[in-house]
Amino acid sequence: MPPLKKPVVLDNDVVSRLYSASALRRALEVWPKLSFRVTERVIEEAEQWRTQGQALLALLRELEAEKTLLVTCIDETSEEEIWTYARLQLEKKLGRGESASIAIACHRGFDIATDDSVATDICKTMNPSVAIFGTGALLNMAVQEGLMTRNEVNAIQYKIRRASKA
Amino acid sequence: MPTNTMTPSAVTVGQALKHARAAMGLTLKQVSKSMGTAISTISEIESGKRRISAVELYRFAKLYQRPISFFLEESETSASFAILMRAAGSASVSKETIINFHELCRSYRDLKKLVRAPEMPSPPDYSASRLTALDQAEELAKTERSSLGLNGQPIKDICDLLEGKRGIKIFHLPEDEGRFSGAFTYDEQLGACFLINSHHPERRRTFTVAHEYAHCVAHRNQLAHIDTCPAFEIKNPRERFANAFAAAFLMPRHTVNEVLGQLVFPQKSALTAEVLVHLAMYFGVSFEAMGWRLVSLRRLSLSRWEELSSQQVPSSPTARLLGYCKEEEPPDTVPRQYKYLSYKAYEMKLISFEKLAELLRRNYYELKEEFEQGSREGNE
Repeated sequence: MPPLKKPVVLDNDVVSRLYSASALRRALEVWPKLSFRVTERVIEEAEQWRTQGQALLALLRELEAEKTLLVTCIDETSEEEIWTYARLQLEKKLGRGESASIAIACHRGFDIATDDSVATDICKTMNPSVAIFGTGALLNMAVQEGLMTRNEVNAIQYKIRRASKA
Repeated sequence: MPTNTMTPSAVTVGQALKHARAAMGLTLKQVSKSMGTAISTISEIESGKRRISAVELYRFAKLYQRPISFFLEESETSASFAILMRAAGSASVSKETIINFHELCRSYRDLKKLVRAPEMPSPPDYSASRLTALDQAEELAKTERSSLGLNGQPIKDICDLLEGKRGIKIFHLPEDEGRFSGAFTYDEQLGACFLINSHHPERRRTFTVAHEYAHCVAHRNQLAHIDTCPAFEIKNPRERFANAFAAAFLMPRHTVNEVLGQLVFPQKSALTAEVLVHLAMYFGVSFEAMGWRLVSLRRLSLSRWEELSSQQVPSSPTARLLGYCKEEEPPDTVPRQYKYLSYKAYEMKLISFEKLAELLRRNYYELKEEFEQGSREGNE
């Protein structure tokens, strides 16, 4: 299956990693318009980040204005989407943003980008047809598609590793 | 409801909705107006005669300021929190804070289940003895100190002590500092839980925790209680009992006399403001609490105390010199054991990082920065 055939919901983890490497804009803008979604929760978390939140928020708003990404939320008229969200919240293993991302992906036929293993496992169980990939895979797909160079991606990955050396 | 595995009965959901509405102090008519739904429909939903749709439940959850999962769990109604919610309507604390407090207590319980943490000890219950006399408060404080293995020494961290040895869950949330000091609840499922106003200085909070502990052990049958300001000059016998207990618990008579003997010389000379500041710091309490304790122990006359308390001693240069006025960091919202359990759950890959941030009431990005900073320092 060619990459990014469907819109991809980005969770906080992926946004955070790409932003820490100053590569959020670059990693998203190489793809066609409207390829990405973030939930309102991502925006809320950015708003409350005391040190760099305003800069991240401004970037997310710019990307939204350019239609590189869309901000989305649980569809308050969709029975299925709400029940999936409620079920995920009832498990008490995921945050509200992740639960919303998975519910949205499951019911709107989107894919998910997350680096969190707990979110990945739960999403796989919830709906095996949703493709899940991490930040690294997203960047590698851009290389495969000829949208970014290997050197560029290696430099971003190096920065991410440095920022989150664990 | 499409998924049978998670759907509770219509009765369970209905009851939870009914309790949440009552807790918010809303009538059927008010809810009907807000939701644009007929009163009869809401009534049928609450009595379990009509199954609720997800769309309706989502809207109810928003109106009642609860997570949607709250209405899907069995036995989520709590008599003690219902008391707090009713009191919050007319008292010094907002309903939003009480809901937040309830959610934190529920999260604590869920975390313990998730990581299979061992059962914590429970605080003793003396409520059957109907204690109200001040000498009984002094005696009970002495018994409790002895049972906690404190002997005469001052209590370094009362929150850690009561959480570790009595299993009490103590949370700090910001509220109006002139109106609210603390609250306690006791619930079969959630255990003993205290809410303390994080806007108060540390010494004041210490006294409030001890005061709530008095309610918890001596007035447990009340199930829940909200403490308003002011703290000391009150007439209610239970409140006076709780203050006397707190004072004796934090400033045991024998130790006060012993330390005073070392500070006041020559003997029988007048008790100065410096001595009071020194004592307050020794016991980790406020100048005011120390002063009233010395009055109650007859080591300070009321007139001399009135004189001292009018001198703005806590902000005097001497108090600064002794370190009384140090800048304080606000307290953490959640207690240490709760943090440990949250981290443990994350480490065991039982919860995601976003959930960890939510449980700790921390911003996702700030917590991430802290983790990355810690990892870098660990690697260097």
